[in-house]
Amino acid sequence: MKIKGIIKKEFLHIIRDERTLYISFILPILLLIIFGYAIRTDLRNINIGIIDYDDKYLTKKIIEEIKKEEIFSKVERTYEFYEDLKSRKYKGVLIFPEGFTRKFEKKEYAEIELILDASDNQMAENIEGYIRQKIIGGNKNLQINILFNPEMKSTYFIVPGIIAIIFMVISAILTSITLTKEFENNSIEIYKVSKIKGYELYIGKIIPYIIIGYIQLTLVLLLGKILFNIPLKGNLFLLYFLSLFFLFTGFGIGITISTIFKEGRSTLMAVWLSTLMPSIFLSGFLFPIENMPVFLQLLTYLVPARYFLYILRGILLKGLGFKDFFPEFIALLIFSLFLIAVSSIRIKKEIG
Amino acid sequence: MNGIKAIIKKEFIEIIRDKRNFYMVTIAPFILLLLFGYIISLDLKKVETGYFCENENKEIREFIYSLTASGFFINKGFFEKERLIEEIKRGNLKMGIIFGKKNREILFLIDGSQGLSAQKILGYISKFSQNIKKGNIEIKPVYLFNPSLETKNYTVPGVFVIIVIIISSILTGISFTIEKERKTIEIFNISPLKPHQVIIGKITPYTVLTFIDGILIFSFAKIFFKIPFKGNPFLLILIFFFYILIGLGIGMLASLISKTQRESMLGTFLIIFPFILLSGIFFPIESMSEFFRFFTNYFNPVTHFLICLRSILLKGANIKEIYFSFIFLIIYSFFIFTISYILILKKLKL
Repeated sequence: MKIKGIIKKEFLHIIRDERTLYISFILPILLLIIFGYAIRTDLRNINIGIIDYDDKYLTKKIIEEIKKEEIFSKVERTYEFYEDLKSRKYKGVLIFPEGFTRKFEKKEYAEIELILDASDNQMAENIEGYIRQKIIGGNKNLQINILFNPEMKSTYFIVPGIIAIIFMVISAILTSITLTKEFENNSIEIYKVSKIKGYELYIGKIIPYIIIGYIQLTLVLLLGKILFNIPLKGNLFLLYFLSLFFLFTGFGIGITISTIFKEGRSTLMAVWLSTLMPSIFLSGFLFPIENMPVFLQLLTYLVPARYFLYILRGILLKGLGFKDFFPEFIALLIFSLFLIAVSSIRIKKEIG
Repeated sequence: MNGIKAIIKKEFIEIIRDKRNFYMVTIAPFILLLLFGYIISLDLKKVETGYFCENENKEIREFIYSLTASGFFINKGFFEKERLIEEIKRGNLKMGIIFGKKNREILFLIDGSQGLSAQKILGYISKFSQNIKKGNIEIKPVYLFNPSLETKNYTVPGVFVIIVIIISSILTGISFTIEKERKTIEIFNISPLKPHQVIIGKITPYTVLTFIDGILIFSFAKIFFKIPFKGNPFLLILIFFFYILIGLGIGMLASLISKTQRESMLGTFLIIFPFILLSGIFFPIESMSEFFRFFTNYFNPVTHFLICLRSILLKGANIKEIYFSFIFLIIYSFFIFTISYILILKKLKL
């Protein structure tokens, strides 16, 4: 069994090079912790200033109400807003004009001014939403039900994204690194004179990374469950099965690119640009696809992570079954078959 | 002085000769700028909405009409109840509205599996629900520094910050490890050049290059995205210079622990990736947990350059208003630069 020999050699390489070990085991945990604990999209710790020219019972009552809102850490009186907003002391300043209470009692139109630091426009709009909700109050007749993630925890949609990123790193970046190493060390010549066939090299090279990929998938799912209580509503075996196709697209890309450049730096750049960057930015992981301009939306159809992410979220959060993402499965199947074909042809060409 | 000059010349020749450098400083930043400038726009443009009601009547039609008229929602028509939930599950609808009996209760169903959009939709609903409620308190928002709430004013400076740190650190890291890889570092050992001359000679071209590149990208961003520039350009240039020094320092540090160009690229990336991720470009710093907020505020140079850049561009801030970030960047660049300088000096002397 020559394949066995290559697998063994590959594992030795992985264990010997601490950087590979770091990338394959520490990085996922690090990503999970950074994304899980550091990145919250819900607002917190916002400082608000208040200028009260009216200073009556009603304005005091409103200020008390605002203080109760959890997202604000400081709600304090101030005398001036422009400099405070400019120096980032407050994110917003509420101004009660004189006669506010009188107008309210007379059932006239009583206006509060809310000055926001809109240099971060998203945050400005969100703060405005919170304050409106607090002061004017929601409409009692409207009920809101958020499906699949009622508390809107960002970890729920981030963990699937991390799985996709890690898979791309393992499959594309790590395989391309080991292959370019062979080119750089000229050890590829050894394969040429040995009796090892192209497919044997191919299989021997990828099996260790499939194993690592699955270990990591399990690790991230477990940690996600323990640390963030990520639900698993669908079928776990389906998830493991479909992951294989995503891994294979990554292998295909990594191997193809390294046979093109045969040199470390360019390969790494190219693999980076073609796998990692699109998986983060064009897959819908962090930035909703619907928001992108049309040409980028079309480009996302070429990003395998897009389909994989849909499947992951579907299985984990929504409990979708196989028939629900049949189109996504077909897309991944086509990607993986095509890339396996291309990369094995290239490997065959290299070692004859 | 002559020694430094010679090294600078050599380094420039290498930069020009290697096509990959050319791509990295010219084409890559512009593609990144365009991509990011468009991708990181978190304003949802349209929320596909489906409805369910038991008997359609005038009130419901009016409600739907005003909802669509608010401009945030796209009307996708009526569905059966099960079908409606199914469509949300599959992601074809972003929101479903179920009208209860006698229209007393209106239930909004939002897909929460994509947190960012869900939050946005929630905001739209609360804005919309203000319109239909009659009360006599009104909040008049004033959007200071970005009155038209344009996302690009927020994101493009962020992209600029990312591109500059990537270019300056990766190129510097590579330029040092390339000497190791080709063993030309030995030549320095036997040459009459002093180690400090080698280091200064090697980093000067990259400082200049990143500087010019930064100005190019910035002008491009200014012309293409029409970002306002309210503050003092000289202040910005001064801060920009310190920021480049930090990038150079990080690259030098990464080159110390790497033997090949590939390793130094990976190393640099692993150092700057957390900085970028936690800089406040993608997620608000205020929302981070205590530990990461501390890290971001006191250890992350990307955050502070971003604060300076945004404050100067959008708010027209002067040095007094950004003094903390300004001092932070100076001290940080001084530290990281001295440390990497000393460490490399040690290596060269051996």
